[in-house]
Amino acid sequence: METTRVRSGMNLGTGERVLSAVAGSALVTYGLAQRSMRGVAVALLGGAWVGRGITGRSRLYQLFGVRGLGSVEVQQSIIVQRPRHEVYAFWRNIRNYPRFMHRVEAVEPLPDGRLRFHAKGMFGRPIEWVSVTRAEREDELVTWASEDGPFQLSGEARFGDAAGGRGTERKVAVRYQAPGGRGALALASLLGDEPGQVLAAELRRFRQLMETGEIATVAGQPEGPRTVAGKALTRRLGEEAR
Amino acid sequence: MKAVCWMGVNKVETRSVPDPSILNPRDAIVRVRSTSICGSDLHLYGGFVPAMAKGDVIGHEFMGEVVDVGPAVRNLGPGDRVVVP
Repeated sequence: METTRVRSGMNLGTGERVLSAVAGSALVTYGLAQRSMRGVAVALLGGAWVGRGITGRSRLYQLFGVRGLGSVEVQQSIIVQRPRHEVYAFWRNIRNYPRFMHRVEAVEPLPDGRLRFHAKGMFGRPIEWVSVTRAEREDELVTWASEDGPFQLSGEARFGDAAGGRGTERKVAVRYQAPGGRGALALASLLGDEPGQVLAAELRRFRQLMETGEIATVAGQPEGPRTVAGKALTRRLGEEAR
Repeated sequence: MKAVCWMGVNKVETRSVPDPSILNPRDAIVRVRSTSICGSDLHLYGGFVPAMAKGDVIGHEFMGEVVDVGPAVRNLGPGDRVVVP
């Protein structure tokens, strides 16, 4: 499986850059005036903030997969050991979506062919949006975009024959604007919703369903008690089924 | 059932934990008769896997006897001796 992310380099807006540089300068000045080890530490932190303001790049946001100004673009691919028309048909059946899509609980077809998605948002809050198919070529390609809802979501899925008769390669690229901006995105990432991992997990589940008819899980088997942070960490490390 | 549980870095204990259950139609529950230690168990044992929590059950290379299978399992049944590599 490969992950490609669009690199935009800068991931801070002008406002946040100015704020970061000003606050950083203040910390440097304050820190150096202390003439103590603690003051030096404060000054160093301030220096990092100044650097963040000048370059417009935040390592922290980068680490959490936050790209651009609250917008996210992720791309993943996976090989499914099934013929291309089967993979395509399985994916075009909206009843399958809640089985492998992260947080999606139901997909309701509207009379005009659009789809209404019902999902669980952060902290279990219900969210919904309407998605419309933009382009469709049987056994090859589908593109879609959301029409309303909390984020502007668009994506495309491509289907191709995998090399050596090994089934079907499915590539998916998804783009969206995070509701609540970068802060919310960073938080979601911490709680185990890093966009690249979410997409990778969906593809893995899709493959498992197609190849074996079930999704392997140990959720519910005996394990040690976990704190909230421990649960988030477990999810973050890819055991999304819990 | 009894299980070998990770209780912290370089610390394991045999403890009583709830019995496992069939979660998926193709699951099987195996009563472990003898087990070996995998290299990856050593990573867990040594504390190199941050998602581990005290009380997690470890060990995944063993042989034993099938005691229960999910409704979609056709090739195995209770009483069969199996090895999980």
